[in-house]
Amino acid sequence: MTNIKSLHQDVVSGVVLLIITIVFYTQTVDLPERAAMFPTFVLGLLLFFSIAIIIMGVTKTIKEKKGDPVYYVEEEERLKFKTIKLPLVFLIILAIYIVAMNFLGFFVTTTLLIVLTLYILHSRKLTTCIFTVFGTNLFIYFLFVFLLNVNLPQGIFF
Amino acid sequence: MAVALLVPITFSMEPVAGLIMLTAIYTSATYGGSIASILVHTPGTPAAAATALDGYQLTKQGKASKAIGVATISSMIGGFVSGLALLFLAPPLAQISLMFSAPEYLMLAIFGLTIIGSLSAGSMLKGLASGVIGLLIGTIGIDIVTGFPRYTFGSISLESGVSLIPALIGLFSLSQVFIMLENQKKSDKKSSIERKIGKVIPSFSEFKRVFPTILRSTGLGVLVGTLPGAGGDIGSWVGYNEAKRFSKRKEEFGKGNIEGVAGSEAANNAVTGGALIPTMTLGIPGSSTTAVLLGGLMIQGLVPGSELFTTNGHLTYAIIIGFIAANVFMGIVGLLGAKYFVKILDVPQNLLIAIIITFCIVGSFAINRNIFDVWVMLSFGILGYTLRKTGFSTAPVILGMILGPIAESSLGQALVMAQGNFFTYLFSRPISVLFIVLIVLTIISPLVLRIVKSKRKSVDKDASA
Repeated sequence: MTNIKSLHQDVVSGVVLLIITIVFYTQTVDLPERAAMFPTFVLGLLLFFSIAIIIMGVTKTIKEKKGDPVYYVEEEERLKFKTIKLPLVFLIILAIYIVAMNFLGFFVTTTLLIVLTLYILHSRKLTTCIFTVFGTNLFIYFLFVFLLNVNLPQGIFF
Repeated sequence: MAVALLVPITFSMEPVAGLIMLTAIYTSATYGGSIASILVHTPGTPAAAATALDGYQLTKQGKASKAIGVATISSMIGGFVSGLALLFLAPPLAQISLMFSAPEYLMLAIFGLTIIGSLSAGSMLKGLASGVIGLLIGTIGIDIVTGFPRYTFGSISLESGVSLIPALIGLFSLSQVFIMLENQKKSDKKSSIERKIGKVIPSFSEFKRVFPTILRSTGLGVLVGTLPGAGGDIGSWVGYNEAKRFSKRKEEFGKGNIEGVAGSEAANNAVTGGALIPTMTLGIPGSSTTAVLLGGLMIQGLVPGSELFTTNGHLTYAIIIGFIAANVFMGIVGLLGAKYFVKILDVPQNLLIAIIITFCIVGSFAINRNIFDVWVMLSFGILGYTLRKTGFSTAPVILGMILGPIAESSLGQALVMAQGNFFTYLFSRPISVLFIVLIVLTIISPLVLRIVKSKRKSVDKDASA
């Protein structure tokens, strides 16, 4: 029997789009007619495309089963956990970073972020690390705080 | 963004100096965006997104300097000619755009959207779907007509809509960081990109090849720029699309064709001068950046309109000539500096990742100075990465986000103006008919070309058999 893993990922993309269409549609129902007109039209288009993509994915799945080659364009590839592991790790780090920025301030958290990034990416030379941290922070301070008067989030230290 | 951030500095400057600085930054930032597009696939401005398509491919092939050289020359010519256009055509061209009304804007937006279809390198279906996703994101926020919040899911920050710049940074730059991250272990410390410097200035034959494209894109760019609401982003896509349509090497587009770089770069810099025309004559900014410039103009006590060209003529013409000169200097600095810009590729990729992440964060924060935009940037980074990995494209999303609101508001107005007979009304307006013809051509031409190609192939087969 077909299990989820043997399905082409286009089927999954299509289904996700379909779910998004439905979720947004439930939000559209309560809107006044005038405000809902254009979004309904857009959702109609999205419905069409999600179904078309599901059909395309099913055709590709059948093709793959027969052993015919299915082409991937540009950056597209069959997604594996190994590929997306590091991006996922960074996604979590960035989320924590943004939350932490409110407490520790921009420059403290950014320093931590750069050090952590370089550590994870195997750049563990102390000089490189210090140079990058100071270079980036000084550049941002000069351009944004000094020249452009942007108040970057401040924390408990400075 | 650079213009927006620098306006406060011009408060204390002389009007001419301050405004020349702003217009010079406007055109240079448009050009500068191409460098990051070409080298690291992170367009600095929405207008440079089209340049990334072929520019980054050229970098991968070790022709980064050539790409930057072509981009510089195209930008310089585009900007220079648009400056001349601003100088000579401002009054008559302003007359044409006075005739523009809701139906024409609607047609302009639809024209922009049909470009999406012919842009997506892989699957046209997924390209169009990406555009529709952009349209949907564009509807988020308070509806202008009824004042009802749409799809905000209870968030107050979303009521003003999704900010374009953070979304752009996420879709292009952060998604690029994610893609760089997954290759970290595979390629060890060296990036897979070749770092040959090569020649900056294109050879005469190359120049001859791109010159018609530069001229065409310059013309289109000035025209698009003049239309209020259509900025460098639309201009560069139109320029790129037409370069592709007229090219003898269509199949090389998206794989590193210098004509693609020239097509979008000449157009987006030509837009700058074009966009200044309605800004200065009518007070209608052609793009968000010129809206900021308009602010800069008014801060100095200069009111757009005929007065600007009569009473304040001595200031206005000085600013325009300064703008033209700025384009030339930009070209010279660009050509001399190209070799050093390419050096950015020598920075180890892991350092680059750390620095790009930091700038993504600080850039998305600084534009509106709120932390919510940083979250927007992160979400769009995830969206962009997912789209790219599953064969969708990120550029149509941005195009949809820009054009969606324009299409919606002008559709509403056009419906009211038509008083029931919507289509007869559209066809009774010459400019909108012109747009309809262009739209039909854009949709049909890829299909026709495909049929012609397959016929030619079968003829070739018959001949060889």
